[in-house]
Amino acid sequence: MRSTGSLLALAALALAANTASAQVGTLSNGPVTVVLNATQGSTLALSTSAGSTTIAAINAGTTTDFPSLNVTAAWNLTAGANIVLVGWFGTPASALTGPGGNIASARVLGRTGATAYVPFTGNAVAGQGVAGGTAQLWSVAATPLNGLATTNLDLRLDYTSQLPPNAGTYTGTLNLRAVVQ
Amino acid sequence: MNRMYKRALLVGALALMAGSAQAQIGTLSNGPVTVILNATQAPTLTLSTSVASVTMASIGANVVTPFPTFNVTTTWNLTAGTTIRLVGWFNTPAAALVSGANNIAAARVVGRTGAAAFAPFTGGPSSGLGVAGGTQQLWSVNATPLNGTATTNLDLALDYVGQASPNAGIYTGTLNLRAIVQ
Repeated sequence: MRSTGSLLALAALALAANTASAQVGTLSNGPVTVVLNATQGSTLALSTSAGSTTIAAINAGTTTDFPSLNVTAAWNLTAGANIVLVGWFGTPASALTGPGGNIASARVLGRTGATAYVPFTGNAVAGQGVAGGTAQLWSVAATPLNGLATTNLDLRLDYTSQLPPNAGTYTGTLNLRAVVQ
Repeated sequence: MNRMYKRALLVGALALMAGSAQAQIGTLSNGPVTVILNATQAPTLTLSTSVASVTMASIGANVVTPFPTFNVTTTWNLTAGTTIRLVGWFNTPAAALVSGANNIAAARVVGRTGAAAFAPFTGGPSSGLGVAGGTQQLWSVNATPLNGTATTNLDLALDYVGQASPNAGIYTGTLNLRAIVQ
């Protein structure tokens, strides 16, 4: 009886050894796959080197320059040819306001690089801006589609052949926005 | 069947690309980013004359002899003030005009603007301008509006009424003019 038990134990071990031997090299079903999805959203950021700029004294009969500032556009896109910088004043007739009256956007000129100054008298560009108070200031190629560009932004008041505004301190807000085209 | 399947895949891929490009065009930057513009027009007050000098050919004895009339213009751009005053003076009242050792006193020089009465330059400083005994306020004009200009005639004369004429000679002097806001 004891001998019979021993034989059964040996058989069981042999079976287990056979089974283990059959498992080596066995593949699972599949391959099972896991799809990874990740999105880098398109970005277009705009910043300026200064939040404000000041003219100490407006020159009568000529132009007066604000201190130059820099504008930086940073983009990460999947498509697009150009990035256009648009600037505008919310109310063209009173781009800057003071106690003695207003300075119209037609008296405010802007440029980037060394281009000619243009007044803020145009219509909206690429849906940005307001009629009579807008200027396209800059256009930069969007290639590569992940890039960065900085330009100077020169602003000035133009009272050439004009009487100066009434004495006082005038303040206004220039809006800037970049748009992919 | 296989061909139709490939075509469907191609159409789907193109549609996906078109959708992606459309989403990019018109993408806006953050903002709008704003730049505050500050500009100051400083108050100004300027004075000018139509001529830099006037000459009378001959001083009359016992009469008033006028210099040629000229104009004075003041231009202002102010934030406050009600009146602009024109003050004229000679630095040395005893010798308003000089010819060598001979002088014509400021008391002998009279002036006016508009059609006012002539008055001598014998007053004290006006509004802090001028010198004692050699000054006259010549004109006062309303400063409103605060951005304006005004012109008036300025008549000057030598008054030797009841006086002997000065010693012979060519007399030269400098009248100082200044405007002030009050």
